[in-house]
Amino acid sequence: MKKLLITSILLTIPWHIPMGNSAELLMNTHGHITVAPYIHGFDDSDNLYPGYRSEYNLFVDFFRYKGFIFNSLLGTTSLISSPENSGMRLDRIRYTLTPGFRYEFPSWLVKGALHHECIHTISRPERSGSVWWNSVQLGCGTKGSYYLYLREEYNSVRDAFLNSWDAQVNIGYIIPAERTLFSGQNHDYRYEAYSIIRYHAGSFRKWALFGSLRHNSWMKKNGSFDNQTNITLNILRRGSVHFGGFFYTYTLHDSFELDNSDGLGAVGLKILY
Amino acid sequence: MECPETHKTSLTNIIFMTICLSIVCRTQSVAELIMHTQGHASFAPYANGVKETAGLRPGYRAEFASQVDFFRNGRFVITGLVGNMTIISRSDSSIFNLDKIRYTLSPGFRYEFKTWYVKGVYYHESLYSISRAEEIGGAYWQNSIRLGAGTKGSTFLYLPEKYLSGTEPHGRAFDAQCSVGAYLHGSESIWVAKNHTYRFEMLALLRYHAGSVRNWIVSFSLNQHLRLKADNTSENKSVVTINLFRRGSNNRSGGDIRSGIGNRYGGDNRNGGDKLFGIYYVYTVYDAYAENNEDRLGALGLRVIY
Repeated sequence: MKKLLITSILLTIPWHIPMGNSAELLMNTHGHITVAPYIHGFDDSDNLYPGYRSEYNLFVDFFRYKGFIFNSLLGTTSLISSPENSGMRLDRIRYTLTPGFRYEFPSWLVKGALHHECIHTISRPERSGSVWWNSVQLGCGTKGSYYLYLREEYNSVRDAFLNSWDAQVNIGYIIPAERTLFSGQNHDYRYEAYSIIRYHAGSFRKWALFGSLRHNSWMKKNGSFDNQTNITLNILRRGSVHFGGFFYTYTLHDSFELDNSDGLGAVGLKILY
Repeated sequence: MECPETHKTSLTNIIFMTICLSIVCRTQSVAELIMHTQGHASFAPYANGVKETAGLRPGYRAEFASQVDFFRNGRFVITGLVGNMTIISRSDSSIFNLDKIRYTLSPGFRYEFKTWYVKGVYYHESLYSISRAEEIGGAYWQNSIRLGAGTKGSTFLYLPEKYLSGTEPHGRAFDAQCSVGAYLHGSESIWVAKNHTYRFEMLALLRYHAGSVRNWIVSFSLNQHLRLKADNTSENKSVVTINLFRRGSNNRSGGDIRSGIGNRYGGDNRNGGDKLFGIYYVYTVYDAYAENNEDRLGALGLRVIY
């Protein structure tokens, strides 16, 4: 009965959003799907080395009100190991749920979000329960540093050397883990910072070439840091509707305890929609 | 000197990627690369039929599914479906307990006629426990070869087009689809089978489009999934769904940030503009499926169709 009531209340929200006025129901979606086998950097002597990584991210722009766009990211990342005697074994799954907003200026935007992330083992018990964390994030960046605008950007150019840069930076306060759904569990992180610098090489025939440097930092309760730095090279082909292609990513340094890929290189397929 | 196993795996990955790259590179205008991605995301708490037991009980379902149309050559389309469904339980001590995850991977093709289509797919589905060891026998994998046909309005793929194009009537119409499949069986492998004895399957869907009022669209559907086992017994699942969708706007902000050109979507829903969003109620009338059973459970959820 309680669920029926809650869902009925949710139903009334979109019902009352007028179309074409200051508040507008958008329901625009974009995102990316990747699958990437690791090709180097793992220990040959380990009989359960990193095998593959598959991401599924969907961004939904729900509605717009006076320049503010309310949105959410829904995503899963499957971490797949590669045992010696069989091709793949699903190891862990990482869920992301990030409702938030953004406010757009002509060439850049600011955004805020409530970021939830959790990591669960697959087919095996957790030692001391699963890990999850919630943070309040604020960030800004040029539009070309977000996937939302990347496709539009490369749709508008043909056979051009762009030689341009985009960047974004985000900071967050991680709610102390108190073993509740809305705080966190099994971590002692307090603050986080995410940044991306993207270099657009250009668009040649139907191909788009760009690379990015990503740096993430997490500050712990005791003042120490976990850092993660990786580079990604993308070569995506423009389809008549969306983009698809290849990427190579190499993790230069990674001390993040919860999902570590230090020194690993992967080549993968990416669909950008 | 023999190549180490790990090097063989890396080499296989590199060869696989190179083949994929060459396919994409060699795509000529005859076979157009489209990369058209559509799908749906939904979240549904069970609203009725849940027995209040002391242990874990059905709580919620969350599902993502994306179908990618990779290449098109005239009416012939090469497709791929990827998706996952998270089955979430509840208990007296926890309102949110991730229980199982079901992965779906289904490459295939579709051949389109004006109002209907035929399709063939290789359908992989696997079911894993989350945060706990598998029950005896380990995870469940199934793979089948499916062939089917249906009217376009019977799939999520064409629903936005149907409801947003303005060229088709939106009410009092039926759509249907039917597929038959043969399960792979034999050696235990992720690409063959594990922990089941299914041999054949039949899937059917009947959808009734009731009509549209202002920006809202109402439709009903009946799904039937029949599985035949090696010992000639069968498992059935019958589900009714009521959908209440609202049209989203095609007015996308941003436009082209370098040239200053405005909205490029122009109301063409095939180009990523319009989406559907709404509420659905799903009731499992009957379910004898051993894995992932929902017998007599009703769920009320939110869904985005993109």
